[in-house]
This record gives sequence, structure tokens and C-alpha cells, in this order.
Amino acid sequence: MALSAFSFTFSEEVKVKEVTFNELESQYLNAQQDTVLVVNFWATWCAPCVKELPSFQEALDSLSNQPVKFLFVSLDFPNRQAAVEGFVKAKKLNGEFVRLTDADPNEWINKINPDWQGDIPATIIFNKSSTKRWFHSGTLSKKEFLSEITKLIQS
Amino acid sequence: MKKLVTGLLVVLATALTVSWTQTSSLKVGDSAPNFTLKNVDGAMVELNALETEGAIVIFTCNHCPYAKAYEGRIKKLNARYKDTYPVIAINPNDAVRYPSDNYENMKKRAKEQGFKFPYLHDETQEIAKAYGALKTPHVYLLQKSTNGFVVKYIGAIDNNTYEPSKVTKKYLENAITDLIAGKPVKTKETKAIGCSIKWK
Repeated sequence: MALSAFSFTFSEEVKVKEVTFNELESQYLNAQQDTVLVVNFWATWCAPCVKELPSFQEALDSLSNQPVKFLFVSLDFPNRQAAVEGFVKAKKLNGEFVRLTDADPNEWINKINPDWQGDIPATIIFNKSSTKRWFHSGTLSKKEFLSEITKLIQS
Repeated sequence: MKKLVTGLLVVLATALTVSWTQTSSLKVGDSAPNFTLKNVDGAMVELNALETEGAIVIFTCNHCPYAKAYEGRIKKLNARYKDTYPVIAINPNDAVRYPSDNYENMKKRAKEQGFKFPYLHDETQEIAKAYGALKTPHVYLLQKSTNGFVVKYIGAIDNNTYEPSKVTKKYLENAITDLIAGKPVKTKETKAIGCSIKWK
């Protein structure tokens, strides 16, 4: 069940699932995974987010044999749903993409991390044995997030 | 050797100062740092020279879709509270990497949008750092006290950036209403998604 939530088949039509924060929590964040989960909050209009996506894609490729899953959560506005799907398709991005539909971030930002002020990009990395999710807001270097992922794979 | 040690201390002190300014963030109850910044009309605007009950300081910019989504609402807030809690908008983004946020484009934006409030350029980004602003828009509601301005509310304007007609919680306006009524602010801090401030 948990695995099926992550299955991603690449097809001509790219579908970016629309999820509420409750669904994001139950289907992804709190789903018991035997993998490390990297969750990146981004938007097509966010230049630093778009700039850091390729490094996640490289990591995703180089870690394809490792127990690591990447989830990209778009915070684009509702009228940008097609644009997000077009972007993912045009850039041939791998990993799973969803778009969060909750209108009031004040209701959920602290549940991701109380230190987060709502600036994007923001990334969390954890596995099911993590007592605290690793959190970073602002652009990440590949070295920074790879070191965190590697630590969790080995733990 | 003494020189070297002194040099090292200076470096260390600088490093500490930098990391402090980067991570400092104002809390509700703190006094608000004063600023004197250039407005789009060329005049310098100083916070402490304001004679109103308070001020709505909003870190914002020209290009960010979240900031743009709030321009209409910010104009309305200023129209309603200009005599008590006027809006002071501040753009802290690095104009070199983001030319759309440079001073000339600020002037253009203010004219196009008909801003009737100051739109100030925080060219050195010192004010955004002093306030601990991280994104646009990022709101600080200030109230005047005997010792300058005090922070009374930090965060979002309301609970629906995309659809103004679906707003159910006017966080900022509720805080202003509390202050004007002489009551403590009920919701002192909220969070919203915004564009990260583009640091130099």
C-alpha cells in the first residue's frame, strides 16, 4: 500500500496529483516507508527552486539503486496546475510530483517544521526511524542533501 | 603574533556578527529597528519620524507572484488605516541578480499600481536582516510606544493568497482592530508561503 503510493510510471501525459495537506501527511509523510524520503517544496515561479531541481534529479539518478524516494510538492496556485504538469513534462523530471491545494499555509507550515517561515525552496529529509525530520529552507547544495541522505541510508 | 591574534579576533567577530544578523529575527514584543530608506519618489523615509499610532511594515517586491497577489489588498489596507496604521512597503531583493526588483522598476511598479504609501528600497538589505524577514510578502505590524515602535504582529496578511474572495481569516486586519480597541493582539504570529528574499 505504502509502496503503491510512490509508484510512478512515466507516460506521455504527466499528471501531477492534487493533494490536501491531510492527504500529503497520510499518504506520504506519515506512511511507513522502508526508504529515505526527500520532500522538496517548490513552485514553477520560484527561480531558486527551479535552479536547484537539476541537482535533485542528478541525485535521484545516482541513487536509483538505493532506498530513497523523492517527492516534489508544488505550491503553485490552482490556475497553474496545467503549467506545472507542462513544466514537469518539458523538463523530463523524475520522482513523484504533487500539488498542494490547501489555501492557508498557516494551518500546515508548522507541521512540516516550526522553524520554517514559509520561504521556498524548503526541503525535509527523513526515514521512519527519524525522531526529527532534517529541515532546510533556501537553496541546498547537492553535497548538503547527499550527506544527509547517506547518513540515513546507513542508519 | 599579537597582530595575528587581533586579526583572527576581528575575523571571528565579523563571522559571528554575520551569522547573527542572518539568523536574528524579531519577536512580537521586541522594539522595531528604526530605518531611513529611499522612497520611489526620491525622498528619504524614516520610521521613527512617523507620528501615527503605528505602522504596517511589509517586505515585498516587484516580481514575486505572492507579493503581486497582495498588492490590491495592501492598497485597501493603506486606504483604511492611513491615519492610524499606514503601510510602509520595503523591497529588500538583490537588484543585481534580479533586475526586475531594481529601483527603476520599483518606481514603475508603484506608478502602475498607484501606490499611495511609501515603497522603499532596502538596497543594503540591512533592514530586512535586522527584522529577520525571509520572504515576500512578510508583514510586521508595529505600534508606537514611548520608546519608539514595538512589534505587535508578524506574518501573513490573510489566509488565502490566491483568492481574495475566499479569505476567511484576516490575520493582519484582526490584529490592527485589536490594537485600535486597546486590546492585546489575539493572533500574534502566522505563517504564509512567500518568495524567499534574494540575498546578495
